[in-house]
Amino acid sequence: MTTNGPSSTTRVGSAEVLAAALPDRKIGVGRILRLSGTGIGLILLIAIFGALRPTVFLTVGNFVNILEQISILAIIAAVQTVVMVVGDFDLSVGSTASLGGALTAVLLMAGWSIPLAVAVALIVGALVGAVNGVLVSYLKLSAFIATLATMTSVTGLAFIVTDGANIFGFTKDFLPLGQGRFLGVPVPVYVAAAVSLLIWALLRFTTIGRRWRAVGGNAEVARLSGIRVDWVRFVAFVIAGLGSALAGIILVSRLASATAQAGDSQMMLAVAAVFLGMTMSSYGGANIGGTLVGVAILGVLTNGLNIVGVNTYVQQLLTGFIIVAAVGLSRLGQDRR
Amino acid sequence: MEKSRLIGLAVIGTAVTLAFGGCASGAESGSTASGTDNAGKKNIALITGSYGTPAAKSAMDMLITKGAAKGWDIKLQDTAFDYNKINSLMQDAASQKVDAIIVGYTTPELITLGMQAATDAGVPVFGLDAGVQPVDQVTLNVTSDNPWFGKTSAEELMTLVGGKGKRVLMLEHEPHPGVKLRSEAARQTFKDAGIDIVAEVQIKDPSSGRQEAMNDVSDYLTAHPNGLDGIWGGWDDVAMGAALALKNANSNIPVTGVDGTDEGLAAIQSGTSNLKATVWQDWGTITDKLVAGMGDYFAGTKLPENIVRVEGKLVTADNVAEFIK
Repeated sequence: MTTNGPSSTTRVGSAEVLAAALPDRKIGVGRILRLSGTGIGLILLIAIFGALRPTVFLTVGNFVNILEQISILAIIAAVQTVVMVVGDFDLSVGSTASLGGALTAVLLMAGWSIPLAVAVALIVGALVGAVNGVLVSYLKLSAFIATLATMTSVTGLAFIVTDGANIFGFTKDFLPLGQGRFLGVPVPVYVAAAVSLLIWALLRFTTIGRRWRAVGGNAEVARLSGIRVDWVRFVAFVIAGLGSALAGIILVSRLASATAQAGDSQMMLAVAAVFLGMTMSSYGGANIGGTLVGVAILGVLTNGLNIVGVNTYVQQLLTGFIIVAAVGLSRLGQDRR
Repeated sequence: MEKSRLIGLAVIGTAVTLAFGGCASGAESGSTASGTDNAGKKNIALITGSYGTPAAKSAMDMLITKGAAKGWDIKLQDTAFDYNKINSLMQDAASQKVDAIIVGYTTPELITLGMQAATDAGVPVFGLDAGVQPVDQVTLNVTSDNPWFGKTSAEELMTLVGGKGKRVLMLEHEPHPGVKLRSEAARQTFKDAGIDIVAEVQIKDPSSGRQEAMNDVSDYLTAHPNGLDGIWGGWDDVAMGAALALKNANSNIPVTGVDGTDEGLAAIQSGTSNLKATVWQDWGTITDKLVAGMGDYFAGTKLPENIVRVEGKLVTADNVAEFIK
């Protein structure tokens, strides 16, 4: 995204920013393909799996199943989106989720109340994000190096917290957070929806949201416009840490146990989802709507391939291909503008 | 800006200095990194492919405790199934001339470079659950009898589901040598008995295996609502994931696991979980035999064999109380 130098970023609306970023707004086939390629990919996947197993795949129960399976990834991807809007990325979101969950589990087993244990885990998650924020924003380390280092340290911390053991046997009152249902829909789905909505609202309607986008578009222009770029990036990382810890807490409740690495695998999926979503943006930036479509693609893909009965290894191969295909489709026509 | 960066760097520098200082002072109570300090004291490198699972942790912790009682300083390094890293760590340990290297949760065939480095340096290599075939370069490997685990748990699942013609799903992880052996034995047992293996699901990442198993089993149940009679889990964590998925689906399909983790045992004892049986790995006996064998070796006694296989025990609702700590 390029902002072309907004004179007062706090007063620049997203429409103006986007308009500035798009010198050519002609609607052509290439452009439509580029913007809707990922969405088309999702629809195609649903159509293909629906055609292959219509009575199984295209059922309300299965869609609820998919929503449940992607809810934790959706939370992590949503907060990863914030960091990527600013132009950075956070490799420590998965390990922060693991730590948040592990810490909650250990505190619950130590007799702490649920609200207190959850609050402490969230604070620790925010602190991890703050460390990333300081390293990237104020000490000017590259986000890759800083969050890679944090990821490693946080994983070690999670092992220390759990002593490498599997923590289980929580009070039953904690389990509805991950296993409960309301109106037939799993509770984690509501949490994921709430987090996504919050992030969307933050990005769309608030000053900090506009500043995130301005910094992501051109940090130098944003700085010249009077935005405290370092602070804005710092806040984005804190949000990522906080959200990741929340996802980890829900994961632990869902699994009724905690380990030091339970959430680690979510990191790469979250990054992939945001990248998929970026293809749906006219300015090529991270956006929450696109991210959720990216998350949905990953969820539908895994669920559909499982239902069709495709071997796990082939699933991994196909997942890679389909991500490339979705991104590739969105690139069609991009360079012709 | 510049000032804040300098302050930040100073804080980090201080923290790193304190951290290393703390580590160094802690290390002073142990031995030096290389060689034997005095009679009876041994420096041993324990290099494992796994520490992040309950069973692996339990075994490693037992080994370290029992070694410490003999005055051995056993330093643990976990590679999280990175076998190339095991090679590198073995090469490092060999160059430091440690008194022994113990490798865990790998097989000698996967770490030939490290094995050669140890042999060249004259450092003996011991194994904990490190393959089932005797290898000349290994002084002593005390291992779980993984094929027995697979066969025994498969037989119990057949008992639970009713035998020939029944349909089972297997949860596996081929990169883990022990789980692979269990899976092979279980698969053969099912085939010999005329059991229909409807799916063999490979878990991609054991650290998130429970979640993966839960999702995979949910998907399978969605696709085949009445297409399953039992689930065989290659280890307890994935068996627990399968049990959670079945519970969510209000299904009473039985699940078996392998490991005998505290959580698995508690689930069996509860009577409400779909996990109905597991095979308890006798880490107490395994580590006892390994420490005894290493002690004999250090004392100059020739070991009668270089591989010892230890069977486990089948745990069901009938005998689970014996295993609960």
